[in-house]
Amino acid sequence: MSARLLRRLLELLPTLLLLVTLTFAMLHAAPGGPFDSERALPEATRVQLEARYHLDQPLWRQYLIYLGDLAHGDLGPSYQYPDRSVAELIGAGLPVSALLGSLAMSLALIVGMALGIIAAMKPHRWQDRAVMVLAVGGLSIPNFVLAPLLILLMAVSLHALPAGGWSGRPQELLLPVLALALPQIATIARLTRAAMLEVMQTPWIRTARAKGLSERHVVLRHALRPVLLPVISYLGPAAAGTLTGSVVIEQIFGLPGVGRYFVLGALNRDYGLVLGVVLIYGTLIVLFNFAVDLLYARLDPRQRE
Amino acid sequence: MTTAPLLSVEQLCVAHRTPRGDVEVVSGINLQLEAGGTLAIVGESGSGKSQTALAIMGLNGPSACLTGRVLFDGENLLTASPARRRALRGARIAMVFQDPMASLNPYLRIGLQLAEVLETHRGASRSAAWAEAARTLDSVRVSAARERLNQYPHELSGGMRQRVMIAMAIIAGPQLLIADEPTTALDPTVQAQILALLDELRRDRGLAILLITHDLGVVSRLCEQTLVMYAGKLVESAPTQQLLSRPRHPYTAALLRARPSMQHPPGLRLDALPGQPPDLRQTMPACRFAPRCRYAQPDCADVPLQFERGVLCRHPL
Repeated sequence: MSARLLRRLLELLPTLLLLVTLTFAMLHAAPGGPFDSERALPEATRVQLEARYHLDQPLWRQYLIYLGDLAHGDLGPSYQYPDRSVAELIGAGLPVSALLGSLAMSLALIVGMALGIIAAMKPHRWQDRAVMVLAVGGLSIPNFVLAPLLILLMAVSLHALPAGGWSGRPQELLLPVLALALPQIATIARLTRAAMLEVMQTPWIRTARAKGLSERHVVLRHALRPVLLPVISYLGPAAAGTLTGSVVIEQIFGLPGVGRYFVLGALNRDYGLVLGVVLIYGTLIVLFNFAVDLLYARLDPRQRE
Repeated sequence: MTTAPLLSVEQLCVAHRTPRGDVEVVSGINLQLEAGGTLAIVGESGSGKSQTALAIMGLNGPSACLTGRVLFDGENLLTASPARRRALRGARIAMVFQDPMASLNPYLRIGLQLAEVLETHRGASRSAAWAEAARTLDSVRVSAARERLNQYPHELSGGMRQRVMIAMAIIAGPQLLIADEPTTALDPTVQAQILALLDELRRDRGLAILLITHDLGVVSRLCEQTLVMYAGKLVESAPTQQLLSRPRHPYTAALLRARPSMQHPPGLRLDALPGQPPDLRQTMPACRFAPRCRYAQPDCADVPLQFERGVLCRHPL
């Protein structure tokens, strides 16, 4: 089992290599460079800087140098923050981003599944319609619209919560988590409702009822597990959505997470910083999907060997 | 008759509300079953036989509207509270379904699915329920019962799964077992074993059995009394042997003619009944079978029928 696990983990490496290569190519294809600015640098300084970061080398050499450093676990330097490495910058932002992301995912799972089950238990009644209206809303309002609306309501009008910033207080995360989770809540609620409605039609649910089990027992013990399967397979895409969403949300709420470095890095052509963030996020998503596969097999006895 | 029957269904009607209007799938069924007795309901798909069985269980679903009376041990189930119905279901009235693969939960261990019946109805402890589950599996002759408890349904053969279904139905010691097409999804040899098992349970445990089937061969092996349903109505009721040898309703006769037999000359086509059962949404003639009946007379379509001397027919055979 552990040997097979290791082999499957190694199989994930080509995916990450492809990710790095594509990102590298796209970054260098974008016009401009890290040291282009409104006030031109003196020619001598510019040449010196480019030589220091190997930017004077042909592109394929720069690529090999980056991969060589990467193989040693070195994400390289940041051009904008010369005194700190990319790894240090990401390390500084990751705790905030991880907290934001995991809270949003947990909230989405719990609330989304609960809403989906409630909707499926009362199909076409007001409970169902209310959840579906919420779900359509959550899916159609982009988070860069939702976040300012939340700020406007909760911070500007009601003065109930801070509009942004981060000093470690929990209430500062409430709005960002909500804004990040809402689209996922919507999707998970819809998935859960559809799966639940389907499962409740199966003959084995009829058998469970024929045994005289209470409706609660039928739902929690007999229906929930098959309903979990589609929700769990959605967790991979949900993680990806949450990570990309967090880039925007961190920017809006002024949270010092990895996403902000990504935005700044992309604007400043800070190649190393952008590559580093993409690589970390890519690894997270790939690992998350891998964990989802394992969990899926655990839940469905027919998938086990 | 001195004692009241275990099950007595009186003028049962089942209608389903659909977006295109109500459909009455069972129209005024009467039946009685003694404790320890056997009764078969025969009919083709859509005749209302399964809906009758589900009505006794109270499992027709939210779109169903039931009228009439279903008396179980003197108690009208149609007016009983949902909680009371749940207390009876699985404990005193149990049901076995057609497809044992689809009717067992594929995600849960066999043992859990058996034990939860006892945990629900008797408040049995987990360990006591699992021990009883093993004994019950053993009594329906599932080999290596103790190991089976930890298996999942997909690890068992079709016949084994149906034995598990039967074990699940009898584990709480019910008085009435409703078996809806219990052998249809099984091989012929396994069918015979399952029928023998049901017969044995009737003898040993005094279990009354209501068998729902379209297979007259199955009926002859298990049931004393047989009812024939057509388009939601009861068309004939007779002791099984008499029904098979001297059918009085033309529909019963047609069903018997349509059966393949060992004596049937090879190459000769089976005498299949022409036409289709009526669409229950349409208005039907007085005798719902008249349009397909080879003995139909001009008055069959118009004059209202009474169920008399075991048959619903103006011109019985």
